[in-house]
Amino acid sequence: MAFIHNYSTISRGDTFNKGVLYSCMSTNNEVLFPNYKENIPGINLRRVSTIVKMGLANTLKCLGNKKTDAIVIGTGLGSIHNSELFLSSYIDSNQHILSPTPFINSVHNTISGEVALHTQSKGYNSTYSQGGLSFEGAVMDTILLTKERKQVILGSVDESTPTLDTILQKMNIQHLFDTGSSFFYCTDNKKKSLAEITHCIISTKNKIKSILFDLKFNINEDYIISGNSSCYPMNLDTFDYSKFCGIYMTNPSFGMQLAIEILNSSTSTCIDGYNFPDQCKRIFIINHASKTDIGIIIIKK
Amino acid sequence: MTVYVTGIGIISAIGMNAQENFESLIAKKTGITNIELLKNLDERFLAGEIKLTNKELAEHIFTSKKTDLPRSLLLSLIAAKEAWQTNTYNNNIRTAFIGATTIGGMDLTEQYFKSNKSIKSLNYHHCGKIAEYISNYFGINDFKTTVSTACSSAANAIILASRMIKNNIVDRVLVGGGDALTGFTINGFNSLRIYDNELCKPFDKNRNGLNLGESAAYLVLENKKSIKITKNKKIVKILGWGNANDAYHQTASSPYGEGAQTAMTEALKIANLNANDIDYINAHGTATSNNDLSEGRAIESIFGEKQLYSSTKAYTGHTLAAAGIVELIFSIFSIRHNTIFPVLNYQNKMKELKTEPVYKLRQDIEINKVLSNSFGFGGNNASIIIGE
Repeated sequence: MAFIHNYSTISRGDTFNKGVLYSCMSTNNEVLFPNYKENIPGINLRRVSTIVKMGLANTLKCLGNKKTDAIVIGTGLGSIHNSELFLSSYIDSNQHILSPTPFINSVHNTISGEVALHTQSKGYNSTYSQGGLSFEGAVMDTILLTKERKQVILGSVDESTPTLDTILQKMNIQHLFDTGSSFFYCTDNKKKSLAEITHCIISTKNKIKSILFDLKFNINEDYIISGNSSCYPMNLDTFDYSKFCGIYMTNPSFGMQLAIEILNSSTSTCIDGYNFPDQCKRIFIINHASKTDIGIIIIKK
Repeated sequence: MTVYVTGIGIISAIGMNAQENFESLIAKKTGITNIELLKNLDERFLAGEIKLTNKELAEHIFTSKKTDLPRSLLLSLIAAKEAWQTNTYNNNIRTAFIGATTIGGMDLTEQYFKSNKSIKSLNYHHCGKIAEYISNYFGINDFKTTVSTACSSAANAIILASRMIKNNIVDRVLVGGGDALTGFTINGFNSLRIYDNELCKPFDKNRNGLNLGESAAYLVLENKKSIKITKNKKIVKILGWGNANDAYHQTASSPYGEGAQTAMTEALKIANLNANDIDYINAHGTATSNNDLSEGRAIESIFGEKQLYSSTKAYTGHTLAAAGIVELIFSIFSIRHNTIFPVLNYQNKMKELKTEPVYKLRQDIEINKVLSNSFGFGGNNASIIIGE
């Protein structure tokens, strides 16, 4: 099973420096980016895209002076900004000589590739993009990789842009997307770990009751959190954390760091009137990815 | 736990199904021609284009003429149906869907921005839509994901699928990749100045870049428990796999293909084989100056100067996210028919290499084990070994 040894998140508020629990104590509307110059030394950041900068800063913070054998990243839309740039460059027929830079940066695995390049990590490298279930694919791979005794950087990255806002509004989608990125350092070593990922399930909604039953869900010890239960309400007592990070396709990764912090706090945790008591053993991150699909990640201390 | 291939399906510029693809390969027939169906390109491009409109493709699958689906999805459905055949939903077989694509529904996104088509077309933009649609279509609901690691996507999808079966997480996987030709990718590779405006020449001294192609290719992978229930015929085994990163450059491979060497070595290790056990290598061989040199050197350094290898890119074009499975299916043909499909358009030996690719059809040797390479942007290198 995958044991988590470190984490780092860029989201609303100063999550990068203070963690997500701290930022959940107040409502922040703006994503606060870390000082990239300080956190990503030895690289000219001028031409590096937002998502790559987020991925790099989070990776370096998770790694410290450790090495990694594997990098797996989930992204719902990759670099929407660069996709827009390249699309408009060739649709605008006046431009006959196209710059390849936005094309290269629009490819989904640019983030994992750049992270490998900058940290000189020559091991396993993969990227998952499954809409609202993109992070869960990367988590499944991480569980397998730690079984194969690899030290893994697991991450998520998604960004919002003004064009994306306009499109979502035109599509009558209730919530605009936010920018956010969370990374984790995972190994097969339980010693000194912060928490454990015990399960990652992708299934259909009609199976949720039987899945919870199979996993011996215990109402006194197990708690459910979600980053999008408001989009598809279910009849389960759930703490929705989207108020603190916004809605984006890989926001279960924010929930994962939140779960780790809750499980590691020495007292009971109360967020926005919702109480996680001391005896909380497991946290289920339930992701209502669509009308039919569901993702479940279980975090245990 | 052993991983068996029990179903194959493919649509490419050289055929609508596996049989047609095999017949074109053995006849050394290329599918690369002038682009006719894809409109609004500024220049003339050669590509492996499937000469059927979206409407015609839809007629192969649906009774109604669905024209609102992205082309990558239509291609994927055709190939997935051929691979899936008589498989059905079964409560006792945990089944996953693992897809691979780089562009997803980008063709419809282009149309939206170009000709102000309905906003609904953007519903298909993200890469996971194909997996969502196909897994619902076949009632596959125990796991789904989509790999997007550029040109190595399908190979990495097989690697994940094989590891999930090996670790007893699922019993059966429908795994595949699909990428249609789009203005996005053609303009993209052209902007990188690696698009040949003549027919591509893999492993030739005068190679001048790649031609893109469109395709979808799918496999059904199963463990023994699943086969006992489905009674599907075993075609080959997935013996080994390797995934490594070059960590050298955003788009180019390192001069001696360090990542490629690691991926191939790792695959041999997992398969528990020596380099001389590999009868043939289906190389990535895109015909770019950089890839073929770096891959050729990497092959020579691991497998020596007697290794037989070729690239089939000049038949189908470079099919991006589908390439890994397109070429794994061709490797299955090589094993089944003891045949090596030669490189096309080959004239001159590369001076930097000691070896030459197989450039004449070979049917005089026994082929039991094949290694297939897929490399991509972001330094991604993936190798897979199959055998009987």
